[in-house]
Amino acid sequence: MSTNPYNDDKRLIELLERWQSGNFSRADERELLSLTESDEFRRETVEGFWALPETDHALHLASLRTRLRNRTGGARRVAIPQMLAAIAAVSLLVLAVIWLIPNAEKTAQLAQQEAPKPTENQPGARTFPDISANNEASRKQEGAMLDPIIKAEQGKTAAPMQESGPPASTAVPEVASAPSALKNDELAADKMVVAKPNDPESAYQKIAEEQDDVERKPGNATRSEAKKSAAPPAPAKDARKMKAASSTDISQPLGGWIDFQNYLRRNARLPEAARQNNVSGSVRLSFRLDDNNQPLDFKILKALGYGCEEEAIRLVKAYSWQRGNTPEVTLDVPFIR
Amino acid sequence: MLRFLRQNIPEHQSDEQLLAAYIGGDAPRALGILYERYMPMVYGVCVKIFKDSGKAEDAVMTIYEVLTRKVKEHKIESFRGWLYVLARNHCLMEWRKTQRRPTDHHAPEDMDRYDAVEPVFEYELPQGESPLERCLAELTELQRTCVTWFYYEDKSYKEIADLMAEELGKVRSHIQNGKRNLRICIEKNS
Repeated sequence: MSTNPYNDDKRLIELLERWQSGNFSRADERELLSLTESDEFRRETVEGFWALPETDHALHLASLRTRLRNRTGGARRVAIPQMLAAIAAVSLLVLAVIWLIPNAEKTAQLAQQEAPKPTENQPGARTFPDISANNEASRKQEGAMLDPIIKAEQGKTAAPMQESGPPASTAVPEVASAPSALKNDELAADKMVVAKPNDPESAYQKIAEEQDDVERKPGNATRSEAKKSAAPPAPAKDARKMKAASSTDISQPLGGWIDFQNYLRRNARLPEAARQNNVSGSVRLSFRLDDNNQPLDFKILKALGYGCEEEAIRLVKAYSWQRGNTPEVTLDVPFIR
Repeated sequence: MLRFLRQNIPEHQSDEQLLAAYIGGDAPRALGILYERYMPMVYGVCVKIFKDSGKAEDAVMTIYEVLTRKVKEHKIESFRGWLYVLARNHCLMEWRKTQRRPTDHHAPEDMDRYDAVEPVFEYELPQGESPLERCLAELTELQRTCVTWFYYEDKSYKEIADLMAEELGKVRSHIQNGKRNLRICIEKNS
């Protein structure tokens, strides 16, 4: 097919947008009609738009674009958590280095305590094919027996740290972002577990990092430590964690909260009545997702009046949702003047 | 994904290239990009059949799902033409499902015959008593004003809306209805 029909289609869509916006003259109508003359598809398109002259088709098309992008944006959805995990891992590394420098004495102490660990850890990597050459075969056999000991030790070192550890230094995450923060930590911890056996020299550092992690975020770290000691050998462990990280624990918009907020920013417009009465702000509402991911049982927790509630519900309904373990969702729909 | 983005700027690819990339499996998002190109047109066709923008919107999304299944089953020569037929048939099928009694059945084509896109106003200002003038007089005040301003005074929709202090949607509606009534009236009189 030549590129010509496509350009004509584009022009047709442009003209229909002008028809919608009102910037539409007789000459535009003439051009629009001439485009429809030879083409059924275009003719029916125009007939469709003209059949409902009072409808805001532009709004429907904007909503459709969002829906389509949410539907096809699979690659993006995976990429963002991975990127976040990578950033988390890097920042942890940096933090670990910063931690190590002023606490040289402490690290020396730690090093003494942990000295046997890096070598003992190696057998834990028996399932990895690329074990370094200095691992004797005998050690491999011991691996199975040593494994629980290591884990127990790790549990021990982690436990006192938790008790004496300072409170979490990071700000309390928002409700919506909490689960993803958890996931990132798990992923980051996960990466360390994977990295450890491949790089014997950094093994010690990684342990230090983990302890760093424990001190900063006692709750989260306990979870991942606990998981580690309870989990089966490495590959299975990885698979399990990946699954945990990718499944949704709470209900959320398809495509994530960031996309949804962008959608609201673009589409949440104050109803005319609200504008005339100088009302603005946000509507807080809660709802439930049914088995088909359809939102229902809307409750207004904070109202603005003048049709804002209906508009907020309409916006939520127009979006695609992903039900998690808890079907209830509470959110704010901001209406900016 | 990076590789995909670097190798081809999707917006500049032809329909068939995008389709091949999707079917080949190395660019799962290509079909979405391709579909977005024609989405306003598919939407228009759906609105024409359903006469309801909300239903049309849902149908556009359903058609995308159908598309993801069907593009791999069929050998597609021209994506554009194929999509048009697919979208149209899908909407007609859905629309028929909603018609409860088959005796009430009117094909949508019959219903909107008078909305058909045909240039009616390629006339000069009529001299004396012509059917057009008589029919213009039969329109409502608002319709007549809108139609005259648009066709004889070359005003844009927005200008008319401003002049009449009317909502834009209403102006679009008056012009559409005025045109339809005129056509019916002229057909009756000739």
